[in-house]
Amino acid sequence: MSTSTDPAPLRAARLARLRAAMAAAGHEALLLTAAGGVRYATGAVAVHGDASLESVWPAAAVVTARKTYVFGIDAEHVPGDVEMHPWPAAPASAFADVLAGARRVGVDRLPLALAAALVRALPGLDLSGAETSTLPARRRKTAEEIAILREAQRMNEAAVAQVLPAIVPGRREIELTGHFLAAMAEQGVTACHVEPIWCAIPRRAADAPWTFAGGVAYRELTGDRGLARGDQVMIDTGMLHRGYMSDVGCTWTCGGETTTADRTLRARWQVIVDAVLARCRPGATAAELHRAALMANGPDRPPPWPVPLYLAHGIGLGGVEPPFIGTDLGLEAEEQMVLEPGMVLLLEPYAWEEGLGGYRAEHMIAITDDGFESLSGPPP
Amino acid sequence: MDPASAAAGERYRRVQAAMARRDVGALLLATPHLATFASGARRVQVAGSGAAVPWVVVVRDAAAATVFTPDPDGAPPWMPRSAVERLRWSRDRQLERIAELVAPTRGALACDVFSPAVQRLADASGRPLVDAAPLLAEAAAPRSEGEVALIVDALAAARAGLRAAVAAVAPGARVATLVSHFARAAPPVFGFPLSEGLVWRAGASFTRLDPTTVVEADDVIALEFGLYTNGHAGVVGDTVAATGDRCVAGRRAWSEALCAVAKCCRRGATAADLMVAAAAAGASCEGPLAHGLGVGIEPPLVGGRGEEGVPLAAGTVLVLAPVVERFPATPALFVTDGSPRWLEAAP
Repeated sequence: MSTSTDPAPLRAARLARLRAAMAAAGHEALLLTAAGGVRYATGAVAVHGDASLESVWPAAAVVTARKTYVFGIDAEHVPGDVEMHPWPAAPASAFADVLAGARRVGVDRLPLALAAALVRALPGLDLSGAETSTLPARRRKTAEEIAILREAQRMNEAAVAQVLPAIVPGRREIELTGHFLAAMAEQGVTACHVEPIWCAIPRRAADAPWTFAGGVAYRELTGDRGLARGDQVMIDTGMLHRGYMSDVGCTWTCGGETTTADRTLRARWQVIVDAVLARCRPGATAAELHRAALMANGPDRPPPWPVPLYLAHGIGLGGVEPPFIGTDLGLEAEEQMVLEPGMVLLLEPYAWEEGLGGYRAEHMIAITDDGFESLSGPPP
Repeated sequence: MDPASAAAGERYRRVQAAMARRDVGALLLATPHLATFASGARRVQVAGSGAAVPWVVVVRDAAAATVFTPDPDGAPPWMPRSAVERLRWSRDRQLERIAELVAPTRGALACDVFSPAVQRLADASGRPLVDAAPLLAEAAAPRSEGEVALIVDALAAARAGLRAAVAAVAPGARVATLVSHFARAAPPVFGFPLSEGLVWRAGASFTRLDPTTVVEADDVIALEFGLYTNGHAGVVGDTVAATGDRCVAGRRAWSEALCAVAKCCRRGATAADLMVAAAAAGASCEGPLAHGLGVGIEPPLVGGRGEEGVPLAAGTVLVLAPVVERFPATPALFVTDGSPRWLEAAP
């Protein structure tokens, strides 16, 4: 399917949610400059990728109660019902023009100089964080959004499966990234949003001295080390399909032959995931999921996820989202995070034990009216 | 120490020097590539988690930046362990910790993005909050030979991938297939791609093509790809006809414009000088005429962004991207006091 712009029903549903959230948050307008925010609000497709690209191809969206505007995006990638402008020579005055009488304006990642110029152009302007509008709007996904996430996940899983046979002794971790990106491109997905991870899991804490206190030993960044037979290779790949992020994680034994330790850890991971899934339904709190994971992991073990990462996180257009479960936000905050139909979660516990190593995989679910639906398949 | 870590240390010293010149006591950064630029840490954010809360704090005269990260294995080896802190998901805690770090400093606070919380922090301490962009632009040069060598490696890797993609341009080829050829042919990527790859149809105007688009027989296709190796970026572009024609006439005109612009690229020349030279040589204004290159796309940005009067510094790496007769392509060069040094052969 073409990604030139997002289809009208999807855009209309998102914009309605965003405007409702704006009203609740007291925002008269939003000025969004992050690519994901621009697309969510308008359906216009900015150039994705690393933030440094935005310095060359900046884009912005302005959302008011009645109208939406896009700046700096090619006409082919802007829906017809959105007022389109080239990137202006004087952005502050251009934004001031379309903001008109709005004074309570939410912004996401506005450059400081532009914010200062805007305040000068609009006396009485009250800039605040757009997240009080955008996060509530994005928390629950529409059926169409969930369908895109399912499709994105399926393509990412297929690409990872293509790469698994290449995880052999002597292969360098970094070589796997090229294989993966090529496999993704063959699926029609080319927007790499987060550095793909292919890295051997440390078997002992001493192998990962950088690990934060209180956490299980882990690595997050692909390196140039050569893989050895039996290495537990953690895989974590995030790509944008029609703007929505897939997030596939699994662990694969280099050479393909698992050991008893590998199977033990995978079984523990499965027990944790099953315990959490058993509680995934509308009305459950994030704290319930957190406690279920701790209990399933067994006593006297640290939480089964790396510090400062999480047991689970939300996901959607452009990247990871709240809720973040298992972070420094703490159980008290998690008691207030209530699961609702339409929320999409990635469960990603990490079973690790000194000497045995680790197993980490991810499982995407959507909360339904009476439970959950898996959006990802079982890990390979 | 590996070359990438050494380069990160050199960048950090330039950032510190720029802070001293501008009397900035603390530099707060929320934008991923700027945070990487200043700190040397490979990754400081989880995808999508970055908004307006700074994840890197550079205190003047500190031995290293303080990095809030989920990936402590991405910190350079010279960074003290105490400077690598766990990323805080609680904004309040993050901001409290930032306040602790900046409290003992003197001078202005510099920040890259607007954040009401950081504004309040500055107001409470009676200190000016200034834009970090000019400071970071100043710190982009002069690059050391070690940094330039890493950028040259990244350019070569990207160019190898681009050549494979160009060779795959043919009627019926999908844009996604071109990207796939790039990914397969580029040497191992250490880091993540700069973008998904930009593929344009060159006609009366340039049309950015999505991955599912199929190349047509009469298409002229412009490609721009980027990648990271060893923490440094390579960005390359070229144009080819679907028939395999190398667009000789357009390439020749482009080459002449390129030389005209390159002649201007010396210390003290301004963006306006480059743009005048480009226009005189027949180049049209299609996006930036040139941009800096380092750990990503960096200042200076030449072309229509209000930076016309800023002089080029010796030691700047520039990617030149003039467009002549609908033909865009890039090579990179190194700005010196005199004639520039090409960092790659023109495509």
